[in-house]
Amino acid sequence: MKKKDETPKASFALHPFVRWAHKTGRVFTLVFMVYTILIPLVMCIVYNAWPSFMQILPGTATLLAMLGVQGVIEIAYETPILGSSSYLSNVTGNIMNLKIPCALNAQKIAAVENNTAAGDAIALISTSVSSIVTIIVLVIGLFLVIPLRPFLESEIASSASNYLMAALFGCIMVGFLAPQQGGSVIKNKLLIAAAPFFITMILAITGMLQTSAAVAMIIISIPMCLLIGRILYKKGIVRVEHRAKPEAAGAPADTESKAE
Amino acid sequence: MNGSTVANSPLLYILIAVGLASIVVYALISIKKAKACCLDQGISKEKIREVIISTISASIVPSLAILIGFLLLANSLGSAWPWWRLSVIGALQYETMAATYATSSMKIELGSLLSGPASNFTGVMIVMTLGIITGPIITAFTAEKYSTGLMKAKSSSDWGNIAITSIPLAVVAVYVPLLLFSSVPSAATFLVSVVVTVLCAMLSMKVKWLGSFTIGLAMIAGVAAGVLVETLMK
Repeated sequence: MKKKDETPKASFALHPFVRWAHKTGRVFTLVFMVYTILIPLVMCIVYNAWPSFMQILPGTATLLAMLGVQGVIEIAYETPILGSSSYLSNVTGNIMNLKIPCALNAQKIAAVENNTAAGDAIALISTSVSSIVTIIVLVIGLFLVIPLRPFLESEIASSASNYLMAALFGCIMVGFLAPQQGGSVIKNKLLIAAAPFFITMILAITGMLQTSAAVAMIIISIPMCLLIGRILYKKGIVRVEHRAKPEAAGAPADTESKAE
Repeated sequence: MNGSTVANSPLLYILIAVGLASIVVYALISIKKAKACCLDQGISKEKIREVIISTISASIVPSLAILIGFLLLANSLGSAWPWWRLSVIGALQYETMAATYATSSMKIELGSLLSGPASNFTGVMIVMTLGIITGPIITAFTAEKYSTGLMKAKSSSDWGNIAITSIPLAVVAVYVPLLLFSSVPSAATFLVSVVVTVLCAMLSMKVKWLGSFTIGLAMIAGVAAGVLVETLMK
């Protein structure tokens, strides 16, 4: 007899685009990182302005220790949303406050699921566009730095930047509450997130948790959601309904063979 | 020679411009390839266009916030270096923190960096670069296996699909209550954003183009509400 979670398995073949995106993304990231490191080194050589090893060691070690651990945690929850656009997102930064909201919004508009070829492609379009927009805005800012300074340094502009995350998550929340997402629908999916939601709510109301410490709570929230999801799935409360043909994560076999 | 010489060096501007141009080229190639994949997967050209317009409108407001961070950093680091750091890798809050850590560990003031020795400035450049390098490096070596593993899990069983959906849900389950219950202006921002998003979604059934600007409009309205409530509470 079949176990409950042994649903019929689709033959998995990775779409050629997904392969291309990972391959070029990896190469681009590594080359770009080398270039990034070279910039300060070139300046040291050209201006003969070398700092001592002991000058840079403490700061680098502190930042690596702090941001290294955080980086690993962030990748754990960013990659399932961003897929193969993770490379460009990490190279251009501003992931949580720009890339992820844009990718989720784009996937919602295109009605595609993440972790599928179409979901990856839409996320990559969104990430690429938002990276270009940020670059353009900063280039304009560089040239308009003097006329823009009074406005951007005003109290209103400073307060406004404090509320960007709340505004972004307000938009995302609506997308999560929407019933249809791509070809399959997960019934009662919000129940999975109920426990971490209420725990965080209590911690936020009592002032025990600030937005700056969100990553720490996410570390707890992910296994909690997975465990609750598993229990609710086993009990039949959370289930997947395939309304249309389930969107394969990879390409059909013929596409794959063509790519070979 | 002081920090200002390095910070305002034409060579630094050229190196940054080349780096940013390479990102734009890679992004444009990615858009072209991803667009072909979308068409292959049955997503219409109109839908792709809607995604692009919506992303542009959603990116402008957060980019303006990044611009504010650029101005704050430019006071102590000159224009070129913050321009580079905020265009690549770092987020607004990381870069400010990294600059502060770099200067304090070198026992110098952030404000005196431009007038101090050039080696102090290049030292800060190195610390800021190496300190935030782990994310992209780890991604380069792990993302393919992790992401394609998730794809396989999703396609192989219903539980795989649920498990993968649980991860973004876990993130939303933390951020939403934090933003909703941490302060009154933050809650006002969130709620106004939700209301405007829903209104735009309803109106976009009749006014098609509105759908592409939903997130941009919701963000502007939400942030305006937050600032208004903060001002009223003072």
